[in-house]
Amino acid sequence: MKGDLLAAAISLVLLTVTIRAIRKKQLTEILAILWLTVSLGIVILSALLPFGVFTAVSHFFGITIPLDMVLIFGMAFLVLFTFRLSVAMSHNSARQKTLVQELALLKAKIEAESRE
Amino acid sequence: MTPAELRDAYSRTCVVVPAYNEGRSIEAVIVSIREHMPGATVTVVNDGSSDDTGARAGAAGALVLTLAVNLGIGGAVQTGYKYALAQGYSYAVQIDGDGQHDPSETHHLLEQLATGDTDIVIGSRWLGRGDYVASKNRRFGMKFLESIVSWRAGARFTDTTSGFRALNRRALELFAVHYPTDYPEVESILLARHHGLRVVEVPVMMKPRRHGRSSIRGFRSLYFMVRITIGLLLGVMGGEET
Repeated sequence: MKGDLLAAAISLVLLTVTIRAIRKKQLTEILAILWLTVSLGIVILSALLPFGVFTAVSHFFGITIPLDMVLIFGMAFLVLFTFRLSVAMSHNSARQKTLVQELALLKAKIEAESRE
Repeated sequence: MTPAELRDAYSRTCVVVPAYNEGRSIEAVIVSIREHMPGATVTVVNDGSSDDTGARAGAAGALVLTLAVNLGIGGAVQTGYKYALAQGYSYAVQIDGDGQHDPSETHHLLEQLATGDTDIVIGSRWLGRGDYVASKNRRFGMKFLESIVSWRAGARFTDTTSGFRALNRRALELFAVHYPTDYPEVESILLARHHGLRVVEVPVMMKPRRHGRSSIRGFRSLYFMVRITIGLLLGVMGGEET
């Protein structure tokens, strides 16, 4: 029973943090939707925990211990998400490089013109 | 090349000097370039230095391109190439800001470029001129890169990490758009060959660096080797789209 409470508490904290971040506009829309879905998903899952749903679902996937299923899916989500973040970061640093270069060239152009 | 032809070539040359915290050696480098390459435009790309590199370069008579944040050698050199291309220079010569490359040697590069048979000329310290020495480990690493590049490029290259280079406009057009970010020297050879550019090495003399130490040392050199090898083997060329 203690485990259920812990899961509920964690999921509620995550939901609160997400909603606060969205209201403060700290997340872009697509990421806001993603995290909202994730935190709501966890809230629903932990609410369903006492009814043995996990056991049924994990048996469906051929996993004996329900906790293992949570770990596997959680891990998969985290790996995919971090990979996605790495891609986005590389993309951003390429864009940042171009911006910094353009800025340097523009600055040189303005200085050259003001000297004339 | 006759002296008149060389003078004409210099007047159409943009010298690109990437510099990150080279305040102590940048002036000497610029003075030397102006002395040995009369008429050439000296462009220092100040790569977000925290010292007075930019001010000293400007005082020594160079045009300074100031990067607001540090981009690393690849991004810095590419800025210079973009500038040279936009300003209509026929040639760009890269000379590092640490004083390792001797501007009095650049005519060897330009002479080769001016034949029109070559798009990129690389100054190699291992082709007989000069007596540059490198530590055993460094030499081993260079040999290793050399064999991979020579294999992938289908031609022999002896000094793949040399940043002492001259480019014509065809090469500038490529590098202004695609240029590797991390350790550009090695990868850019294959990138250029991949795009059908003609890359040739000529023997030059190089000096040991005057101040500071190579950025590639200790653990970094391990990362450098792994990063370059993976890049070369996977053909990850050109880095990110810009």
